[in-house]
Amino acid sequence: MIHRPLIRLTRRIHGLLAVSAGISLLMTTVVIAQMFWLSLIIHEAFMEGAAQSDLHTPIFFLLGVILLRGLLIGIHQYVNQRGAVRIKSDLRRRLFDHLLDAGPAQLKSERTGELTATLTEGLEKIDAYFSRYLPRALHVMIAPLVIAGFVLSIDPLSGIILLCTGPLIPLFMWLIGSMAEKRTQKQWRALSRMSAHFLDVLQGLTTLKLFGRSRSLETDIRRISNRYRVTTMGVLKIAFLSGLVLELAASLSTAIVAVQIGVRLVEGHIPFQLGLFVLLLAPEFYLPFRQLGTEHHAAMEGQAAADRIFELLEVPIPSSPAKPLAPPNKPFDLELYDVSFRYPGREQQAVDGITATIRHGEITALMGPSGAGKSTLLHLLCRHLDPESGIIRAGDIDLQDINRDVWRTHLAVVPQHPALFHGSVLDNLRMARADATLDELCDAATLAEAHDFITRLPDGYETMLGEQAWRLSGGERQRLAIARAYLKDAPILLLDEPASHLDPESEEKLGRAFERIARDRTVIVIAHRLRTIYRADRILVLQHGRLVEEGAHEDLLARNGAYAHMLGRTT
Amino acid sequence: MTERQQTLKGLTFFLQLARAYRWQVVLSIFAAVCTVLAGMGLMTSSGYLISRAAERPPILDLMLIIVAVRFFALSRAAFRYLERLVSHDLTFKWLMALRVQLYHILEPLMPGLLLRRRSGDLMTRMVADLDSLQNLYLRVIAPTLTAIIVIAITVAALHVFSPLLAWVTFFFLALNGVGLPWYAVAQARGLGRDQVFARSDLQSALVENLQGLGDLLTLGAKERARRIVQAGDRQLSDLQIKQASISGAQDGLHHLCGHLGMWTVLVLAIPMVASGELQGVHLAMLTLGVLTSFEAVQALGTAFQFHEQTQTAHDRIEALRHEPPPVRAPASAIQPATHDIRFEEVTFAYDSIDAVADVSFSLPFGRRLAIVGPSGAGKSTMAYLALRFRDPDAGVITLDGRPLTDYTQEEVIRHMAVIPQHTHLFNDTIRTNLQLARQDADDDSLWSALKRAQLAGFVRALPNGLDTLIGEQGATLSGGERQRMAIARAFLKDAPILVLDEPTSHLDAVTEQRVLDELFAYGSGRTMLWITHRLLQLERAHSILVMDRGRIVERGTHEKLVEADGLYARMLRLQNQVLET
Repeated sequence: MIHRPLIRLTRRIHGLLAVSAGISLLMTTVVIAQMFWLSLIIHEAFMEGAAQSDLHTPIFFLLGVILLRGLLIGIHQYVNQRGAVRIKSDLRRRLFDHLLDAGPAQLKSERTGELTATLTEGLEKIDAYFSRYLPRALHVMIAPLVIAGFVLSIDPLSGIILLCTGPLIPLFMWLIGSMAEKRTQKQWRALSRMSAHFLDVLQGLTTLKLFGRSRSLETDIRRISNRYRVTTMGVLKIAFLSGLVLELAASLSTAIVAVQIGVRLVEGHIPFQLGLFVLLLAPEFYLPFRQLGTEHHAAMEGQAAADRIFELLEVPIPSSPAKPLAPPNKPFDLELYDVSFRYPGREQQAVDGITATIRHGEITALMGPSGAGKSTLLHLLCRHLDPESGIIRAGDIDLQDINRDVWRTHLAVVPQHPALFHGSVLDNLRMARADATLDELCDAATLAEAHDFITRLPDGYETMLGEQAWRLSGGERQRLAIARAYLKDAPILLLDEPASHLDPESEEKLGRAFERIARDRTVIVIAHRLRTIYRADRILVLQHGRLVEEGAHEDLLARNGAYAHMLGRTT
Repeated sequence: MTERQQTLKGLTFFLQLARAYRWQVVLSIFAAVCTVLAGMGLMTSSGYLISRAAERPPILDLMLIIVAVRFFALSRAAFRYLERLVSHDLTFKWLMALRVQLYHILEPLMPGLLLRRRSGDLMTRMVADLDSLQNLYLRVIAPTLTAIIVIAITVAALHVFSPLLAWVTFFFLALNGVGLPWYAVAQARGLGRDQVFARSDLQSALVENLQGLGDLLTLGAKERARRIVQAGDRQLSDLQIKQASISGAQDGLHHLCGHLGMWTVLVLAIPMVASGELQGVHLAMLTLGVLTSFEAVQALGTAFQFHEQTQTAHDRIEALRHEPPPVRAPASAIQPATHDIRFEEVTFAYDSIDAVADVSFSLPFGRRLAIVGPSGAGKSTMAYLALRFRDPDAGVITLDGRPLTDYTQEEVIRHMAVIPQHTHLFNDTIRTNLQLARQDADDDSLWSALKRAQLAGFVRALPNGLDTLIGEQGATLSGGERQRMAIARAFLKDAPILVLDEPTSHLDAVTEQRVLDELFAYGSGRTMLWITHRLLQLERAHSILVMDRGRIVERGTHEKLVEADGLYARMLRLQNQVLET
């Protein structure tokens, strides 16, 4: 049950682990002391007929070690949990930083809900591995050895019994474990499938009702639950065997120790106190094994969760230049030479050998059916992705030689569905420029045709936005994003026009805001509106990742090719 | 409601099941009690064995004790195994009963309930609630019953030797089993809630930053995101460290309490031995017996914590049980003779769906009515009302001249084939998903429906054809394919009234055209209620209602509406400005 990547993580808590091991050792010593005083007191009272007054010293020593043991157990637990908290927090920050570096394009295939679950519940699942399983695994390597060694020194015969039976426990558990492992894992998958079945039925209730079938489902639920019970019990019968063996080995060995001591006592080969002392130590020898056994499941679950976390940490990150160059300090064109990109696991190139120039100060429209590579091209220009081959240049500098974050200060992006973050309208605007004054913010909002609707919100510019708060319509979100772009005032503007229909009023305002911000900038727009296309200085027509036509509207129309065909469909 | 009543309520929930499986419950508790008793027996008999042996009797006198030691050693493992098997089996049966019960509660509430709350969320939470309730027996009821019985037996047995020792032991057992967990739960109560909040804060920070990853990178707000997430992480970690100190204290005290109990018994017993009130040969036995009896209360700590969780889950399910049904069934069941529909001054407003106000129209059998308008205009609400998912607040909807409320919901739905905006596909084969619409449909009719839905080519290309599994919620299908599955189902259902809610929103233009042609062909001789925000082929509708913010703002045929140059005409112009990609 040693999971290498997880063990590697413990590097950060080596200190705490050492403390944990130290406490284990100390606890074992205290246990031995406790059992010594206990056996001494019983011996004195029973064999010697000592009165309470004769036993004051051992009684108080016993109380002392009992208190000490309780204290150590408390500290042990605290230290172990603390270590787990530190590892989780470390890992969470590392993971989040990694995702920030990887960027949105690399994470396209991941579902946000699932990612978030990994960063919260997934990490909680590895908690048990570090706070319980690992310390108990350490303890099992310390306590039994110390106790067996000690017993060996005071009563060799009993010591040998302990040393012989102890290793049998892990051995048998491993044997049964490996026997049941495959079947158990198959069963766990079945478990999630079946509980998914119930969820599936509940979520489909409306559909079932629409076909008048909801009444008959009850027997189905009963049948599937029952089938699941029968198969799971079949597996548990085997899985529980490891517990049976563990329990059997521990209690039988204790019984053997007790019986042989009893027989030797009758024959007078061993003093009573020593016999009792060893008998008291025997269960303490097996206890760590039993404690570890109960954490088996926690360890398995933690490992499964860890695998997913480490998988995410391996999501590739766009390159960082060793010696970053500064972007050009005078106006520049963007040039693409034979740029290609393919998403991992896909056969088709998302962008396939595109060569084009995006001129400074011009509006360049990207057109093409969905899947033609328009969004990938934007990702490449934002440096969310690196081209697989080919080169993108800003002026005469390769984009990959520029630090990503520095390059992004030259861009303003207005996506189709702009994100709003938890905070007021002001907070959301200030994300683009933290030190903007209120006047500047209002100006930007006015230019973006957003000021009017913002002042109509319940708390105006102080209205809280985001998941849990006020919801803006698609058109309003985009106008807010345009206001952000004004604030950022970057020389290059990347726009993704809404593809869906807005109501007539929003449509009009958005159109005006678009046109206004496009002035005096290098604009690259994924165009869905005819009037945007008419206004563009140059249109790049994409199909299947390739650039199939390029030019101004009239030229392209005259050519009567893909472009003309695409326009034709709408008129 | 008092805590006591709640506890009882949770128990009655369980007792219903317990009655059905009473012998299994008895067996599982018996085995659990025996497991603990065998553990105690092993140590007490061992203690007695060596004490007795120290008096050096003839070895034959010890044989019976030796047999007892071995018996306890063997039986402990066996009882534990038996207990685990029986109690897990019971847990699964209990889960099945819970599922059936929840389904019973939910089935009549659907789909009206969904119009109010977020469906995915509700269902996921219900399933999670069941998951925590399923452990009620294993984690709460069984350990509690076991502890009570073992404590009773231990105290009774000790009473034989000395009433004082018996009551001292009882005190420490109660302190350990009830006092400490109660104290720990009280200590951690605020903390648990704070952790839930901290976790959900962190969760929403993660969600919005991961969802808006592209935006925050290009806005240059990476540091801000990092700061927010780290703050959330720190808040949670601090609470968890606090929690660590509480659980550390709890563990230490728990252990301490057991051993202090043993120590007290020992200290009290020594003078009794000296005075002859207690035999010295029993001293080791009693001490060890008391020490091992604390195993019985070990699981009560988690039982306490668990009880809180299950209460919340239980209460949420109970709340659903008392939810009024969205629509009331009529006293006597009738069937419509014709299929004419009328809306008369219908008004409806409800939590999360778009309101409609004062809507009137009539849709005689065989006519095609289109409802268009911007999103949020209340178009889908009209379909919900026509299907009797809910009843209007004011006004009346009639079918065959009689109010919809005179028919059962099932009866209304029976006459309608619906293509909803979001259809649910079950994690099963394509065949099963289609046969939902007509149970006895043979392959020919399935293929013909698929063909008309423009999906036959796709299914034919699949390795297992109709028997292909489509994954959770049809995960392996694209939006367009799922939509066409819904369309194929509607073809199979063969009902006189066709309700289409944005039936082609996920289809490309060519497929959309073909599907619409098929739907119109199918719709002739049937009534069609066609909801759409895309103004396409609307000249084929007999009449069009244009809705905006819950009201009908225009009505007429396509030609008339274009001529009128109102909202409809403006929407049409705008649509032609947008490229179809």
